[in-house]
Amino acid sequence: MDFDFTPADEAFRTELRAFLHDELPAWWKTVFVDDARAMPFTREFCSKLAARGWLTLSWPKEHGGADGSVWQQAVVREEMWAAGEPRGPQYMNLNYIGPLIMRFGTPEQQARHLPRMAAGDVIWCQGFSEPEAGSDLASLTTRAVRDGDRYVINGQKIWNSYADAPADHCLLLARTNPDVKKQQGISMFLVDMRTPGITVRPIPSMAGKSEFSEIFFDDAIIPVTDRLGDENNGWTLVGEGLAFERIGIARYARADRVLEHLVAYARDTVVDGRRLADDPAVRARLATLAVRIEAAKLLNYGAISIQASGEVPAIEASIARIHNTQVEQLAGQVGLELLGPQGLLLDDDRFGLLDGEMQRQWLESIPVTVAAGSTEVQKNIIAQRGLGLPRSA
Amino acid sequence: MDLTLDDDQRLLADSARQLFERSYTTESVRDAEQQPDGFSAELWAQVGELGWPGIALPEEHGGAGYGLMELAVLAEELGRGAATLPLLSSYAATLPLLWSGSEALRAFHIPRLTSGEAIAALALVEPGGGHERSTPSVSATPSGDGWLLTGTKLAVPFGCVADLFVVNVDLGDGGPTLVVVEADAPNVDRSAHDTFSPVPLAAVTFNQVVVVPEDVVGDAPVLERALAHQTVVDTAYAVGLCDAALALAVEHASNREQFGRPIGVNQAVSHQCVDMRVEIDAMRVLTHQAAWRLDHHDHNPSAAARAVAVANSYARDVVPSVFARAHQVHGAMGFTMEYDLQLFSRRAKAYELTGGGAAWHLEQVARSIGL
Repeated sequence: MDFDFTPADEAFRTELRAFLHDELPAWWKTVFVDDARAMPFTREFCSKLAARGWLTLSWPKEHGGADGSVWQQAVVREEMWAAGEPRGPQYMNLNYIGPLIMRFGTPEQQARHLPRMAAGDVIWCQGFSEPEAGSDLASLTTRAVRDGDRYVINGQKIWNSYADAPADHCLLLARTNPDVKKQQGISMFLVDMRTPGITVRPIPSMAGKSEFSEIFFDDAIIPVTDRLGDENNGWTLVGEGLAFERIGIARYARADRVLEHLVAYARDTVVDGRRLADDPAVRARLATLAVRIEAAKLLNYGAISIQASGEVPAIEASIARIHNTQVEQLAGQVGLELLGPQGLLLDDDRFGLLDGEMQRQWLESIPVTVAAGSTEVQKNIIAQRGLGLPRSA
Repeated sequence: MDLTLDDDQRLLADSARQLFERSYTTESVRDAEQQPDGFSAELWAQVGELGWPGIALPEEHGGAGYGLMELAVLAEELGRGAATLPLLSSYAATLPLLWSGSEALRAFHIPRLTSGEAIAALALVEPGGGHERSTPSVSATPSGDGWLLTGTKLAVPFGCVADLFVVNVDLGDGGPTLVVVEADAPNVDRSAHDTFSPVPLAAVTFNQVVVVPEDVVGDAPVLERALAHQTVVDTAYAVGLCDAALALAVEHASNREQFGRPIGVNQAVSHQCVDMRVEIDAMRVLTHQAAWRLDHHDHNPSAAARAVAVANSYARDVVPSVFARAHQVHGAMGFTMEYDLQLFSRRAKAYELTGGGAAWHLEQVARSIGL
């Protein structure tokens, strides 16, 4: 048992922080702000990370990676998320889309997609949810009908982050067999978003720009060679992909950065002749946030420890995810609470506080208990697979 | 970084769990509660043979030389078995002797505490609504080379069977001082409290008890560090209590049928069980961190203090809700004396009310983050 990072990992963190300090422009916040510079910047930034070998640190050498340890990967995730995730949409390529292609892709698919991901110059979005297939994802109805050596795709996807970035590719789930049990008739595709018949419509969202879009497929034709894995085996791939994803975001790390800024604010701000930091209610609230952050962090580390020992931390990752999404929301809640009425002002208002960080934390954290499997769905999985409780007939 | 238990720790947990599952079941727990001393002397003897009282004490004094982490692993299993033993409280009372006691004092007491032949108890709480860290009013008036102690301590764990007390007193210099008082010293009186606590508690009265400078075993920082150890293993014990309550709740929700199906198929019930698990897993990992950091205290004392405060404040915050859920899932069955849940919920309440409340520990967290 060891609760510390190795000196080598800590040195790597220091190096990464210095790099972020040098590379992040003063205007950078996150990719979800309404700033035309943000999305192009994430591409540039990823290219720079790639040049240093840090973008695909976690990937195996044979696919252009550095075979980084799970703990080095954790350091990267923490530092990136704390800095507003300057990799933008591309963290998805690294965390699970690339690994899925490594695991299930043909040599041609690997040669086509992995080097571009490794170079940091390609944006992917995910086409899973549909208007009538949310938590019950397997009931999706977007059709991919085989026609010789191609598929004809018709249907609608929704809640697609970054589709309007614009995304270059989409990891798509579509029904290839409507006549079998719903999970057994789904396939996964690697779709070029420039395919005729694909339309993207952004959904204005309080959580920020590019957070959500809809994608419409209207007789979009793709080659059979763009199917990932076997036909009708897409559901298995989803399970793999989401397992990679659950500890793929170090949410506690940004909450910790928010806490750091709130502590500084509470120490510097005097209200009615008393520092906020001397108000017992403020102290208790910030300390509670600190405690919850520590819990979320250690549960992630626990899941990673299991991963490092060669096992799959399925339930542990779900539990860690619940803590992480909750603490991300708590940080936004506590942050705005501390600012009071002035917290309502935007960052470009001359009386705005803390550069708008608390609003962004609140707004961007609203979807996190819903996206990639709602908390309730996670709890059903824990109840049945983790605790062995009966499932309803 | 590696948050998994090592082979020794896993073996220790397994052997402890087997002991409680096979030989010391909840029937034995009920018997022990009826014993005059409130615990099973037989189990204590068995635990002594296994070397548990000295597991985290140094080899030079006859201990096993493991750390607090290993004692925490045992403590969780003790909690899971609802075992009531002086193992954890006597360990914590031994620490001031070990750290600050004179050579003679250590040579005399520690070997028999390590073997479990003797039991030590911290005597800290006083009448008037105070707690373990309140300023002591047990007074010491100078007499000869030393002092005469006068006053009363409450809620002393295993106070009626303890062989020695480590007492927090005011020597007149403003700061609290820890002194060792043997239980059979003249003018020491003790009586069992009437309590719902499953831990037998005693009131101990000192009526002009002679104490000499050689009996001094520490000051406020020593006390605080001993309490850090105490609260961390107590929290590990509480993790075991909570996990046992969860296991009972899952079993009940799986077997109890209403409307023709197990109640556990209802999300309103199953998610209560999940919420327990989600909180228990966090309690455990925070407690492990606190134990591990206390074992590596000298390397980073502030990280250790912070980890202790975080683990305590989290656990003391969530333990009541874990048990509220456990009782809710069980319905009426949960509060009958014949059902096991009450064994755990009474122990959990004893945990919550000792060692400093959630608010006190939360304030220590506030200090640790720069507030």
